[in-house]
Amino acid sequence: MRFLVACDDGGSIKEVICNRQTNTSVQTALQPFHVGTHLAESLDHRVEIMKSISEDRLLVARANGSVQLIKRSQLPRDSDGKNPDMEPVFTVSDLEVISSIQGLLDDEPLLNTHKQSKRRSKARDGFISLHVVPGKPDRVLCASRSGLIHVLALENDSIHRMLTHTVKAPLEFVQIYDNNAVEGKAKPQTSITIGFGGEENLVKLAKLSSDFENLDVFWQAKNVSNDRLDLKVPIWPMELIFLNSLPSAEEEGENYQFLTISHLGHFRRYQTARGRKPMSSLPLLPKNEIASQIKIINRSLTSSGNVIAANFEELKFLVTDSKKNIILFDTSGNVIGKYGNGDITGFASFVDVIEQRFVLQGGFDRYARIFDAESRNVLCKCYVGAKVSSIVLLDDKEIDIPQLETKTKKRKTRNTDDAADAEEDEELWNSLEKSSKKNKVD
Amino acid sequence: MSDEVIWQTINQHFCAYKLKTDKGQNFCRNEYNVTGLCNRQSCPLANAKYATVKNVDGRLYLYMKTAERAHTPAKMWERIRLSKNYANALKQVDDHLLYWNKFLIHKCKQRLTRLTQVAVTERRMELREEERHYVGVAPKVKRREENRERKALAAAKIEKAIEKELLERLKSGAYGDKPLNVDEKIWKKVLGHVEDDQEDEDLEEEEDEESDAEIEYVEDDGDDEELMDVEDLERWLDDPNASHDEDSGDDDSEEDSSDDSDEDDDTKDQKRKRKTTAARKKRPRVEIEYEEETNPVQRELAH
Amino acid sequence: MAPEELRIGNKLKRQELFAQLKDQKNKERHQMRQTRAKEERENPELKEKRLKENVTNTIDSLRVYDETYNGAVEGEEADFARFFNSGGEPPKILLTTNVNAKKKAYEFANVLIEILPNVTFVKRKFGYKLKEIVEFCNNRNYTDLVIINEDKKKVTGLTFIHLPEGPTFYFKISSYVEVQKIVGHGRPTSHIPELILNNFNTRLGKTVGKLFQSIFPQNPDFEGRQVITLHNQRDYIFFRRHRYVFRNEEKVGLQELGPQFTLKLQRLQHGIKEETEWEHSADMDKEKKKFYL
Repeated sequence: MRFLVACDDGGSIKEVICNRQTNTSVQTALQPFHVGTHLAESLDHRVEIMKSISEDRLLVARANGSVQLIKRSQLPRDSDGKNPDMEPVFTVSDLEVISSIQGLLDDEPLLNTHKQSKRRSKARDGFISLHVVPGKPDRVLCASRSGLIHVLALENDSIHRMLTHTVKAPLEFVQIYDNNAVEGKAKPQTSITIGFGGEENLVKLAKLSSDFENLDVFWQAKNVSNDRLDLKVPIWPMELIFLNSLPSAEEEGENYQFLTISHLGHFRRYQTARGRKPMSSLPLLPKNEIASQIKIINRSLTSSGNVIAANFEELKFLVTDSKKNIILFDTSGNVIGKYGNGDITGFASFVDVIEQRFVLQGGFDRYARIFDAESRNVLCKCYVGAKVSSIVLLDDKEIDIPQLETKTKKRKTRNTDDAADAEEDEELWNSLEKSSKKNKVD
Repeated sequence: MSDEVIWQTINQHFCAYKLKTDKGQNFCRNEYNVTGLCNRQSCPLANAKYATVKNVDGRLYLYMKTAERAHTPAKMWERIRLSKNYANALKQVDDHLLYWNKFLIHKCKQRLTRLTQVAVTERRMELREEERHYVGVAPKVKRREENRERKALAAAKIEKAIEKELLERLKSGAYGDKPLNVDEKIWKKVLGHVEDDQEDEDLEEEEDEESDAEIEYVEDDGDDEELMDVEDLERWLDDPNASHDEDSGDDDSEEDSSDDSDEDDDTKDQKRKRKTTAARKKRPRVEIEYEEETNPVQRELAH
Repeated sequence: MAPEELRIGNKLKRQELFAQLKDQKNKERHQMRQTRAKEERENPELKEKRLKENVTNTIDSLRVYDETYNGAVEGEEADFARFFNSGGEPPKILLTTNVNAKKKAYEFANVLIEILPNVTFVKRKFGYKLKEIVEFCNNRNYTDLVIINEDKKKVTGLTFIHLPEGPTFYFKISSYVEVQKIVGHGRPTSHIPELILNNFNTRLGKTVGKLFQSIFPQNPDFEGRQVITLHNQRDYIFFRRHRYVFRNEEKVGLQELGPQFTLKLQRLQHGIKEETEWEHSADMDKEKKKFYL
């Protein structure tokens, strides 16, 4: 397996190459073959989002407000020269910034909302999402917590800002509807649908015209009705995932359907044609626990994480809370299990599901882990020395360790040993039986 | 079945909802009971005509049953949702229980009042920030932690660790060239360990330190408290074998007074010696003044 | 070996024989020790060698492997630097209690006021949220907020919030011994004490160590000869305060000034009581030899 890990503390990107069963917490277990540090900057320049946009290109959004286009090239690894025959053969990546833009963040709008916010720490602007526009691989949407939605253009290996839309702050997510791109329906001239929301900022759907000039909010959700104490339920969607939209019979437009998770762990399902309130709202977490992410694990996903399916039935999803749990739920809100139960000691700041097979996890306990999605077992666990903000899986191939000959030899010797052992055992048993008989006679 | 028969059974024989006490007053666990007491009037089972107020999912309802519907248990209770406004709700109760007996009207209103109060309290508690969340600790866990702590303390050998660390600091020179917390002789020895062939410098340093000490006594008439402290420290420094410092801290004050004369003699002697050897050096005086300034400031901040 | 293993039917005989055997063994052992002592007296290297070879296994030495133990990791410094204020100003601490605190909490606050430098005690008023308190502190340039947690008339915990951006530490307090109860305690002077932090070795341990380092001032008055020790052993952090004297170049005299208490890290949170970075849970106790600090 080969993956890139974005680390907070040093602002670096680390490449980890390891096989399954790697575990750095156990001295005798397999250790990663290679952990390389690239592009280290500083804590203030830490990577917030890292996204792979093609085979050899990465986009990285840093906390100082810059977005960098990074080129990844493969190099043969330098051998340390001890015994070159015995070393596994693999290439390592080299990362190089080829273009970057600065100044995409703005703290100002957050200062006003901070007074009412439930967050206690001082509000800092940060990047929340980075999406390649469906059907237009040279356009990137980049959103910040302060409600700035930038349209970036990638041309000839350079990146520059085209224009910026401002929406109501604060945002927690901006999700782009790209399900039609999968079916090949996305045409360059169709408009783009995005959904966004945040603290005291209801989920809104907006259409971005094909030339990116206009952003029109065409649908806004309504808060659920008051709870049993007749208190307002806090509005705070944390993440939104689109499903395939249903073609609606009447009127223009589509019947978008999506699901959200709120800060208090309410799992909500919406259909835009069915009204502005959610169709259902399920509390998943115990009282006063805070949810942060939701990921669907048993459906194929689009590149920005939307579900390629048209109904909500039989979904399995995992929800991370602000403590240390990654809990797997089914659609009716029952707990199926937990990932890394007892092993993870800190908040999982990054979780992603790859092809319904792997769950990537990284967080405040400074480990990057890969789980098997089905069995929930840890496949690799690697200490990276810094808080993890993002992981990109480059490939899941195992690396051959050129020790086959010795292994077979060992096996053979072991076999002979086994035979000898068996004989010895036999003798021992015989003698024991004799002696026991003797004892009885005595 | 007539009400009287039911009540006879409940009262004389058995009722699943009855909670007996030894105080003469029995309670009722039936959720429709309007008072919570077990008696003829407020028994929801033995009264065909009955009314109560209940909280269902945060809303208050007036529940009523009448003898006419007694034969259909599924439809026995008629319920009316009460207004969120307390005054309106009271009026609603009045309207619906217009010709009912006074007891039920009164008790329903009482229950309505109480449930409203409970809701208000609940809401207030909900809005309050949860300062800490409570986690239960099993006695077993508590005992285990105590034992582990005890064993850890034994394994720590804290005093030894401190001594080791202090000596390390002393020898590594963390206290500077002229440490204020070491007796000169010891410091000389330590230096001897570190660098054998710099004896001349040692001598100089010795002089310096002596001048330091001398000035501490010159400055003494400024601040009595400081003087006491310094003297204390001096005593510690000067006779490291004095056992009472280590063993009997409780008696410190008494000993201070009783030992004063001796101490004075000692210190006077020292003063004389030091004056003769190193009176001409005046630079360290500046250092001491600085000390005198910082200490009271520090004290103010600390208290 | 027990007397029963001699396989002699007669109990008296068996015991007699066993006593003889045992006696003989004892004699052999004493003989062996005597000769060894003799040899070692003549040749002290032998003793050194023997002591070097015979090291007892302790829980601490058999500690479960931790990859962060004593290892320097890149980016650490930047993370730790957040504990210290830019410009290196001395710490400024606001001390308070939980709401509705009882007398014990205030007594403990008095003790802490003596220990911590540049500290202001504020009586906790009902109705202020943590966010408001933090804002209040930020406006007055406090660098740390310390909250004493009292429950059932016992001081049970201490919260350290580093301002303005966290992190937040919560420690459990146990075995608190007042100054008056320590036999032979001395009286502290107002000098700024030195600080000794022992055994903070893992990444988490270093973070905790840095917290204490940043709370106590970095310019001790050496002439006060006072030292505050925070000694970590098996995740228990022992707090002690001493006055020391160097008796000679190998010996140090210590006089305890008190108080004593033990801290145990329960929770480390990012920001001001926000995302958990590390939390103690009951199943961490399963493994006796696994330590986190």
